[in-house]
Amino acid sequence: MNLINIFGELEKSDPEVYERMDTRRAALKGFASMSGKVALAVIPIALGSIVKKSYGQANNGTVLEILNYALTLEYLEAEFYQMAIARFGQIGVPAGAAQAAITTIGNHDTQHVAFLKSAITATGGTPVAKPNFDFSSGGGSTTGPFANVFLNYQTFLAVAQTFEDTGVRAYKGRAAELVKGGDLLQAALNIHSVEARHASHIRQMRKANNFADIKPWITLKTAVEHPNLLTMERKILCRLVFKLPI
Amino acid sequence: MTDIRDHEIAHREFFKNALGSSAIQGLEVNFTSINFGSCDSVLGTAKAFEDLGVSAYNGAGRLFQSPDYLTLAGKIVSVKARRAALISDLISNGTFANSKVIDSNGLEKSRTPTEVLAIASAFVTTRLNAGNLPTS
Repeated sequence: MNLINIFGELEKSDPEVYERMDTRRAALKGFASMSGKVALAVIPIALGSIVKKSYGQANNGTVLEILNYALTLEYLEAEFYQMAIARFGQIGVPAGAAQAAITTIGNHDTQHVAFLKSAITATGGTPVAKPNFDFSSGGGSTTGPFANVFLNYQTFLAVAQTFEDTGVRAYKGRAAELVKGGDLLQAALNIHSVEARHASHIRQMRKANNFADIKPWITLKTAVEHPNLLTMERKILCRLVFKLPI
Repeated sequence: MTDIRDHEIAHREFFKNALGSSAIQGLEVNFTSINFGSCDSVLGTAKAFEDLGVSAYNGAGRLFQSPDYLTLAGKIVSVKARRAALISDLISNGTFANSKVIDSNGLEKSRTPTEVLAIASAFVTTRLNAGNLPTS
């Protein structure tokens, strides 16, 4: 796996506004079906829960599944940043603004974990347990292509960007299933925009360090050139997060 | 800044297309309180607009009846949030997601349409009314 190519592909994507709708719709569908499989594989869903009217269209089983999906992603981000915070020197994160920014982001993700756990419990579900993550993307071997993620600032920020951009898309990708979902939908949206702010800042950090020529947002022109972005992202997510075969 | 302007034009045109004859007329704006000769004034106003925009979409998401439109709004708001973060950082690096916009649960603010219009009205001469929007 060529790490640089993968991140290059990610950066060149445009999943957010300007994409051609037909491509995006197909891609989203793929992403959603992937998450469905993941849910079946790793998430104990409270199936058969009583459908509460307060959640509008989304039934309680769907809501809980989505919340647990979000929780899994937040576990990933929270652990990633907490590990980094404990290893700033080893990674080479400069003291001052850079360490402060990573700490801010990590704290938010830890807060999201706590918030989602309580939301799941309040909705009558059981928060999914935290999976074991292999941030080297080695599927559990810890010797994957990002084995130096906590030893190299450049790799660390590249992986961070992948997680943040993925987080933004993950919330966006599931929001439609929470339509008319009242407070829970609003909470998901309130996390979604925070993830976007994180993504923006991590991208700025990469740019400022000359690690990558990117913008805080995802740009247009190459989206057309790289319509298979979601496939790449899905591969990364499968390997890093859920340790599933690609 | 050029990118940001182009994003906004794309968003405006997108909404005009989606709304068709239901679209409201272009607004008459009042930017007299902004000093366009001052970087601080322009960036400060830009930050206020971006933060307001994010909170507006966050607060209005629950009013959508259509999942497709909700997803589209989500695509717009994440771009806004990315821009809000950049502009905050341009004013003071590291403020991309500070406690002025994010609460202790790590959640960003939402504003109802009425709250948004009250804030926006300082910059808009056209009278705005959210009275015919659903509230839940």
